[in-house]
Amino acid sequence: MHHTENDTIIAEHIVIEGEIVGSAGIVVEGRVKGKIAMAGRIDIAESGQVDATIEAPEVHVAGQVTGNIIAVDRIQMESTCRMIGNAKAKRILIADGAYFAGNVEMGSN
Amino acid sequence: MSDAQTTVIGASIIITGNIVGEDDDLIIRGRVEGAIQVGGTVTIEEHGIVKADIDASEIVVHGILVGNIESAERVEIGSTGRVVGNIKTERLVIQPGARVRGEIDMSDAKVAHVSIPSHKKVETLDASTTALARAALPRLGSRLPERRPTPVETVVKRTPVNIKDAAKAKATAAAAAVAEPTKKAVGRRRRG
Repeated sequence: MHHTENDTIIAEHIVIEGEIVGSAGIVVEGRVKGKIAMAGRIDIAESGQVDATIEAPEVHVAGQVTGNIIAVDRIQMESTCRMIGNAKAKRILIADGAYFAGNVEMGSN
Repeated sequence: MSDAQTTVIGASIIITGNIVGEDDDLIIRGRVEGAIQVGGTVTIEEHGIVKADIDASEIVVHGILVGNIESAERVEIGSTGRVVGNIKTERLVIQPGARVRGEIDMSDAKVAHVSIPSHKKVETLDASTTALARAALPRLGSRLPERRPTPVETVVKRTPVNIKDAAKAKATAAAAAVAEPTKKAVGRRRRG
């Protein structure tokens, strides 16, 4: 794991319905419905299920995401990722085996 | 519990909404507004601020909590803890320095969650109460029939005796030789 002590971890069996806002990073191993907006890195772990709009400088997806991701810097979709929604970022990486259905907008801010 | 089971809400994080979990623990260093319902322990750390009703098996408050608490096992409010809301729990610990405003309910409503030590307490209390009651009852029982019925009986007896005596006195047509012993008999009864 890349997170520091200050980071937020949503464990596997936790369900959050609502809005998560913060200036640090977050690791989602559980479920989040609503919105995640962070100033740090967002990690959706393999067990993570997110039905939300995601906004962060950097987003890593290894789990399931239904919703739009807006990243200033980078979106990385791992091989276990299942992503349904639009992705907007300066750089987008999609690993072999990842599932992605949606629009991509890359490059400019 | 392992780290994977523990959810941590970081210091800079604000969550607006509901948090639901099974047997998971929850550590809150940031802010949560909404409702929390988990099967494990909810810990609000010193700088954590929670504005939510919490339902968990154990709740530890070192930060600020505005909302009602319902815990099946234990609630602890640390020395830096501030709680505004009602508390319903089996066991409650309030450390010196803590501030609490609200209603506390420690009634034995959730019998299913009673832990072994509290069970023992209940048994010893019951046993001592029944022993006290048993010891007190015979004393009360011996006092009651002695004091109360005796005056009632004497009152009831006196009137018919007097009436009978008066009737007898009328019937015997005031024979001086006969009247004297009856007066004596009435006098004895009154004294007795």
